[in-house]
Amino acid sequence: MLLKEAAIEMEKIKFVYPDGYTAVENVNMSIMRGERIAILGPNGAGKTTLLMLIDGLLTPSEGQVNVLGMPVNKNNLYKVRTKVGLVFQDPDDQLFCPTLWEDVTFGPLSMDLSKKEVARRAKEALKVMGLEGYEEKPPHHLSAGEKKKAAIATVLVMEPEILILDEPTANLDPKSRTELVKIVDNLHKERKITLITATHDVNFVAAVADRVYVLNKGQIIAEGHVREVFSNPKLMEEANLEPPALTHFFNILNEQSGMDLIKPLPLTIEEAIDKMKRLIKKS
Amino acid sequence: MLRTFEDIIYSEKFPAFNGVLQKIDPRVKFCCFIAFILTAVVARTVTSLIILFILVIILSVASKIPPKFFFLRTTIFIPIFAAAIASPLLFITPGRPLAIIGYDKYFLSITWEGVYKAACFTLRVWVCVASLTLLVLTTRFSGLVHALEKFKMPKVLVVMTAITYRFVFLFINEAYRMVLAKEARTVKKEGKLHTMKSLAHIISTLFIRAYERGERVYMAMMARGYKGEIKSIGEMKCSYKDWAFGFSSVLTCFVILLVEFLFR
Repeated sequence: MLLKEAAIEMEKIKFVYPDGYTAVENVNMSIMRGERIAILGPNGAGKTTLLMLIDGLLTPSEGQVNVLGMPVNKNNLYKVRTKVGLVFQDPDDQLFCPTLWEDVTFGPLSMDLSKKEVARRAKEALKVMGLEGYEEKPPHHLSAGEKKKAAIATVLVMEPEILILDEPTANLDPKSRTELVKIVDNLHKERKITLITATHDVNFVAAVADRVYVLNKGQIIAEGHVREVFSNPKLMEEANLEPPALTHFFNILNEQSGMDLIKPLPLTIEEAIDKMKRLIKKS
Repeated sequence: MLRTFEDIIYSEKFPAFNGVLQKIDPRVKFCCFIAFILTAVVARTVTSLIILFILVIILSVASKIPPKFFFLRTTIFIPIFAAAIASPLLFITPGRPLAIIGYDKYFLSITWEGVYKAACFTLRVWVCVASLTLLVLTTRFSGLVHALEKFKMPKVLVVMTAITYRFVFLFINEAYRMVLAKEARTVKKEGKLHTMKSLAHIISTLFIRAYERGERVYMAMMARGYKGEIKSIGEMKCSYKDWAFGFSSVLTCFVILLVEFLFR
């Protein structure tokens, strides 16, 4: 029942910046509640603009965005923003208070919650992100990985139904990345949060999304399951992307053997090992 | 140099020490040091100023600020500058001569009164600078911002101060990286004009970047439901220790001024 409700609907969205640059055009999107979506696209494809349109930070030049059945307009802007948690690419944009505690409480305080509730939520959000004991730290003293987690905490504390991450893996080391994947995955499982990730980090996509929209030059050029999209090398090339190393490997293996030895394409190491074992057994 | 500068301002090393001033509520501290500064400005005698001087020194020691560091921090720049400004007072104040420079008809005389006035002026400046330094060194920046907020300082100014503090080093680092990138591409000795031109480019780029960052920070605030007002959850409580400290320092200032007034 929950899954059938639409979280985000976009119809023929167009956005033109004041300087006349068309950032996105003719975008149609329909995302259900509880889905994990990735918006995949190269640099400058319009990913960030699209995310800002969802959160009502920008108003589309044409078309209509609906979030959880509400049209995004002046009247329910604040309602939309409490339901949608947008994590910006650069955590330094998001953390602007003298201490982390103030940054985390900033959102819920503007939601007019009681101080007790705000404190409870803030503590919980910090716990979920593994940042307990960092309350009094100034954000500029955190490492890049900690900053990223802190930025997510500042949004989670508002208990959004839709979590949007803009390039979450930018500037993160492999360990912080793995950690982030785990946290995000848990959030989706435990809270049934709708997850939207904009990224060009193809190796990260399979871990955080089931369905992918491929965006290039402001237009959606493909949509489908992660597996479908990654098994289409032509499409990936068209979008200035490369398939993940693992998928790439099996694509070539299939191609060179002239048969579809391994179908469907594995997305994770575990899947690949499993497939290989079976193949070896067969032969 | 950038690093040391950043360390001093950003490390918040001293506020973490377990000293006397660190334990006092920022609002109380704020009031106390304002009282010190006002007293120093009003005081007319060297004795009162020396008492204040000693008080500030005692407080700095009790707050475990390294004496050498504190001395350098408070004395090197502003008080020496003040002394330079006060130096004409040595010669132009009428009174009993202390020393005479020059010969025959062309001479300058240093008077006792002049020395007294100059010493007062320099000490006064020192007490003011040292009080503020001590306040800033022993208080976390967030505490200072909250104190300002509680004292009904206009919200816009408080927020602007907080955000400036938050982002100033980000921009210094950004400028520094740009300078490095420029140096990395400089392969021959440049003329002064060329250097100035490229500096101008860096400054203008920095300005645009600051503007753009401001836009993004604002967007991020909006995304979290910002409606034009920043609220805070932090409730500060004054313990009896805070009250005692505040009361005794204001009382000291009052006594200093009263004694001075009575024995004038």
